[in-house]
Amino acid sequence: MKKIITLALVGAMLSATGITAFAVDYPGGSQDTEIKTTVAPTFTVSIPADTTVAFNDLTTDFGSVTLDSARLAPNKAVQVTIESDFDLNNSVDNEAVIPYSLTATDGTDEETVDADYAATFRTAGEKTDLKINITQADWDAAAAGDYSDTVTFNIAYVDAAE
Amino acid sequence: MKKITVMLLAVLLFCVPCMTAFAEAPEQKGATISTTVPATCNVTFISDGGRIEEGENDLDGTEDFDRRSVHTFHIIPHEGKVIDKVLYGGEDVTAQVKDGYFTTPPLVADMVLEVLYKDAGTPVEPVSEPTSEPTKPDTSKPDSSKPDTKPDTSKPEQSGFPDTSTPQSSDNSDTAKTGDTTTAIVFVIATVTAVSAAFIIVLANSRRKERE
Repeated sequence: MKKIITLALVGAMLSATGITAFAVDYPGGSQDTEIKTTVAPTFTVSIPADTTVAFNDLTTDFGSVTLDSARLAPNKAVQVTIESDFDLNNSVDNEAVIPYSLTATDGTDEETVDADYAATFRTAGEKTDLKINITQADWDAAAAGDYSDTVTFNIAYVDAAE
Repeated sequence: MKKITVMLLAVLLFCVPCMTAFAEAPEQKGATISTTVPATCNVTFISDGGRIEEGENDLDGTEDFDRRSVHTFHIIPHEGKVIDKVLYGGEDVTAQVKDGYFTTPPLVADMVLEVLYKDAGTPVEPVSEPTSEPTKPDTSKPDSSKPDTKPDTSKPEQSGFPDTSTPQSSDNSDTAKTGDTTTAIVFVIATVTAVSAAFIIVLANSRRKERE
């Protein structure tokens, strides 16, 4: 019984692997042999590190989203979207916030990051620079204290837009 | 041994498909933005020619205040000085100073309050000019009065400096003195002339009487 289970598991494992090679001998004539393989897509995306904004600074570098390396299918791309409520929240008072905005610069194109923003990369080395903006009026209105917010970067392997 | 082999194969069976699926799954990463808004702001006071007070406290150099607090500073010029200009954070706020008091907007950043002073007599100077001007033509006309004009021309220059009230009164006294001395000399000459004439007449009368 154990031998049967072992054989069954080995069989299941082999069928699960991506590479399948078949060679069948026929007594006469010719027969095509198909070799199949699958190269899994791989890519590395780096995102901005934690950043501290100096008091009263109107613009602060947030780093960049960069496609460091990529082995993608021809019709695929890497898409990065950004989620945030765009408020720095006071550590003590939940109602005290400092509003901020993010600006994404891709080459010469500058765009304000919002819920619809998406950066699409296909080639290693492509990047989008990000800046944090806080207006002087918002600094002036802020109560004393520590503030923070987490920006979430969603990285997805998507169909490339034509 | 067989059991271990079976278990290992079972684990591998689950792992292989998982790894393949993982590469294409969306992934989330986060980055934190943080900042600190200080509880205090400092104000640097620059006041050469006067002092700045809040309540009974003399303010000098740099002082710390609570963020978003509002302050009323009393600017007190030294004697003989008046406020010329008040700069707050580099902005001219002189028009907002009422009776020497300046009230700040809520403090939200480090600021500099600089007060510039001028001599209190400076605006008074033009008022005194009309009274001193008539004396100048008088001193320039006669050649013999040149020595008198030199001290007169030097005194108005001095009056432009701190103690303006003293030169004003000294100017007035100078003009009174020059008028008095002229009158006195004329009076003395007239008296001497009259006495001389009277003496000559008396002497002439006495000589006539002797001849007779």
